[in-house]
Amino acid sequence: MVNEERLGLMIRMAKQDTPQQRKALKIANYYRNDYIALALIGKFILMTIGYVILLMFVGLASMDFLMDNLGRINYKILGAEIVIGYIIFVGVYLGITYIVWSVRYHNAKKAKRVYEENIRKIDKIYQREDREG
Amino acid sequence: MSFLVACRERLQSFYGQFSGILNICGKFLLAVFVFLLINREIGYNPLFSNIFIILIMALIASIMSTKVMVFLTAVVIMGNAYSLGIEVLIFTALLMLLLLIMFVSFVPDDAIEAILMPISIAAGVPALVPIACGLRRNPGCIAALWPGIVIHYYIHVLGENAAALGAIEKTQYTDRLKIILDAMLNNREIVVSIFSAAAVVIIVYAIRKLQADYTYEIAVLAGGIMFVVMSLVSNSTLGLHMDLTRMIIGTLIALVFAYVFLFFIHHVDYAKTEHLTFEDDDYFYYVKAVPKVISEEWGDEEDEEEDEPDAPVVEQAALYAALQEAAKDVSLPSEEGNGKEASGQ
Repeated sequence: MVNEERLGLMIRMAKQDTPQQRKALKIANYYRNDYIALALIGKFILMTIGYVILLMFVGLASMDFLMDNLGRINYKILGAEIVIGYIIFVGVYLGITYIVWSVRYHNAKKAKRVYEENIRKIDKIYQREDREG
Repeated sequence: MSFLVACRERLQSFYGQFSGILNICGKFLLAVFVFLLINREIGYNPLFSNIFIILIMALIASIMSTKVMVFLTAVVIMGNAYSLGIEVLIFTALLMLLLLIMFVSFVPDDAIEAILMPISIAAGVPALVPIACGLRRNPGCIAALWPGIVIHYYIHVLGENAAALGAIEKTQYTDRLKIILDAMLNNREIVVSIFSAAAVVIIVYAIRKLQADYTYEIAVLAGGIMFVVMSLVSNSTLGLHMDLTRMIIGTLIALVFAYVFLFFIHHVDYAKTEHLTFEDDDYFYYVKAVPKVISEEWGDEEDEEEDEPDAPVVEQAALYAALQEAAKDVSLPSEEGNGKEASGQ
């Protein structure tokens, strides 16, 4: 005879078996610090590339000014502004990355807890059925 | 209304049966529409303007993931930019890479909105996609909308300045790029569109998450009003010379489509709301159950017993019984599986 409770649980789990759920379970297998650190390193490299591209666009937009004042520009101050801009740009994006990835990890852990809870319930039902013969 | 509900359920059932083929057809039509839209503005490359190439690319985009469609859209834009000049191609590629790094990398699964946003702007209903995103997603999808807005205006700038670019010597790279960059920087509509889209998504999301009745309907209306207000304010303060009549009509049409969308995703009967309270050993549960509107005609086809109680009461009783049963079996996760994580944290 079909155990309706077990069937209901298994149907619910099958419905929850989406790509997002599978991704969440993979994320939850990481340590929190490792998961966030990987994201921060990747974003640091990407943002550095992005900042270089942004500088190129700014340079192009200011081409006339740069060509007219080539000999008069204080390159130390310009260099300092570029470095400070880089620190602020990367810092802001790394901050956003930290928050977003922390929230993702928290949600993934919650999803894994729900999944494990359902697995345990199904296991208990199987054990109960075995005992009852 | 019950006729509309019945039609909706038949459509949903039809979609459920044939979702695979319908998804492919939908993506194919979307891809064709996007590629034709791009070629309408900057269709200078004979290869990417060829209808057969467009159909083949649309076919590839339809059978693969939406990220492939986004990639192919970028390829079409860059292919047409190459016809304007090698420096335009490099500039376009760098712009797309910058948008990808700064925004899309945070929400790669929402990349399709980067395509839908330019389509809605071109169709004259720019408020539609932000409202739909606020109803179905979270404010993080703004990171996918912004690149779509920038690319739309960039394509428009390329199309408008194609003649000016053609008039300059091809070796004058910086002069040609300056035309494009100046046109983009002087275009204040980009900034207005970006802030309007963000404001609409945030306000729709904030209102629909409230624990009250009719929040979804109010959220859609609020999103439309926010868009109109922001457009009017920016038009007067920034001197944009926007076509206000077209903008208001476009917003009204967007609201109509948004309410149709809402009818399919969230149609409930607030008059039959049930408030339930029960407890187990650990918690008190305060549950608000709002029944979905189901067609009586549809329900009769599956309901063979005439004396069966109303659906909300049945659902309520079943929910209560399931929760009571679940409360008996609730236990804390064991330490075995979590030993590794506990030491890692």
